[in-house]
Amino acid sequence: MPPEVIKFRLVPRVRQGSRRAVGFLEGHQELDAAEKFDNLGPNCKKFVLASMEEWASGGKDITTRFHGFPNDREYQLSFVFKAKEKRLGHRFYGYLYQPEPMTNPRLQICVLCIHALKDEAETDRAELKRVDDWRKSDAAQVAIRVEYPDKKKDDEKGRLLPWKT
Amino acid sequence: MENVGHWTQQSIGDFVYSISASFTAQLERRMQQKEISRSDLAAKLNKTTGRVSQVLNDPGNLSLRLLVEYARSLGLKVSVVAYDDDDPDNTKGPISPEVFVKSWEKLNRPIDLFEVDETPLQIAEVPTIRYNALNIQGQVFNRTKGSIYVSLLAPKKSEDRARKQDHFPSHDWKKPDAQAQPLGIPNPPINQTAVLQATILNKEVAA
Repeated sequence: MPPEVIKFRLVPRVRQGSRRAVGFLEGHQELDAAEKFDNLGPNCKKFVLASMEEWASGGKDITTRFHGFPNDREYQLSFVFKAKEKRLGHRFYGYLYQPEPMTNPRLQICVLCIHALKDEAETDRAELKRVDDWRKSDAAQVAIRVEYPDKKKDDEKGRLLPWKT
Repeated sequence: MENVGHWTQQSIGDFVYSISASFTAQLERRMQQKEISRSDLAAKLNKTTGRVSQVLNDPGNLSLRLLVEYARSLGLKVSVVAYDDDDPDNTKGPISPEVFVKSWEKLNRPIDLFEVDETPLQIAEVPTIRYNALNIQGQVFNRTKGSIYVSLLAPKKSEDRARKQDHFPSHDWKKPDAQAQPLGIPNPPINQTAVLQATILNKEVAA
C-alpha cells in the first residue's frame, strides 16, 4: 500500500477573496472534511459554499455560520464552518494560516481538516486539538507550500532589504 | 461537474441561493450585533421560531416580500442592485452585498447621485500624496479628519529605495509622535505594501 500523501486544495468553484481563501487538507483518514463536504445534500452544500465566500470576501464572524476562536488560548487559530441539514449540525473544523509570509503577508487561508456532527452548541475541544495537531504538522505545511510556494521574484533573491539595513 | 467557473454559473437557482444566503448573513450579523435571538425575531414577525430558523438555515428561494419583511423587522432597508462587473458569463460569482454597503458607507452614506458626485475624495483619484517633500505612490484607502491612510508601494528602483530610506528611516517608523506612523508592517519587504497614517494638507494632495 503506497504511503499516504497529504494534499491541500482550494475549494473549487468558489470566489476566493483577494486576502482570504478556503481549502481542504486531505490524504489521511482523519482528514475527512473534503469528503464529507462533497457528500452534503445540495442545499446544505450551497449554504457552506456561500458561508465560505462570505468569510473569504472579508465578512466578520457570524457565530451561527462560521467563526474563529480568538479568545481560546490553546486553539486561537482554529476555525469552523457550520451548517444544518435535517436537524443535524455539520461542523467543518480547520485553522487559519498565513501561507505567504514573505511575498504576500496579508493573505490568510482557512485550512479545513475534519468534519463532525453536532447537536449541541458547545465545540468539542478534542476536535480542536486534532486540528491543531495538523496545523503543527510538517506534512500540512509542505502540502500548503505546493499551492503557495512563497517564493520571491528572481530579481529580489539574496538582496538585502533596504528597510532592514 | 467541472471544476471550472463558479458554482452559481450554470443555474439561476444556484445564483438565487447564493444571494439569498448572503442576504440572510447580513440579517444574522445584524441580529448578532443587536443581540436579537431567533425567537425574538420570530415574535416580531409573528412567525414560529422554527420557520425563522428554516429561512436562516436554508435560504433557498426567498421572495422579495419576505426579504423586506425580515429586514424591516430588524430596522434595515433593502435595495435590489444590478451591477456589471465585467463578468457576463458569471465565471466568478456574485459580489457580496457587504461590499456595496461598505462602499456606500465610505462615501458618507449619500442619499442621491448628487451627493455621490460631491463626495470630496474619490479614492481612485488620488494615487500620489506628498509627504516630507516626497511624492509617495500608494493607494489611499481611508481618510479621516486631517489624516489619510495610505497603502504605500515600496519603491522598485534601487536609487528610489535609498532615497525613501532617507525619508523613512526605521526609527522614524516606530516613533509614536512621528508625522507618519506604521499601522501595519513596520519594516515592509520590497514590493509589499506598508500602511502609513500621514497627516496632510489638502493642497499637498496631487490629483
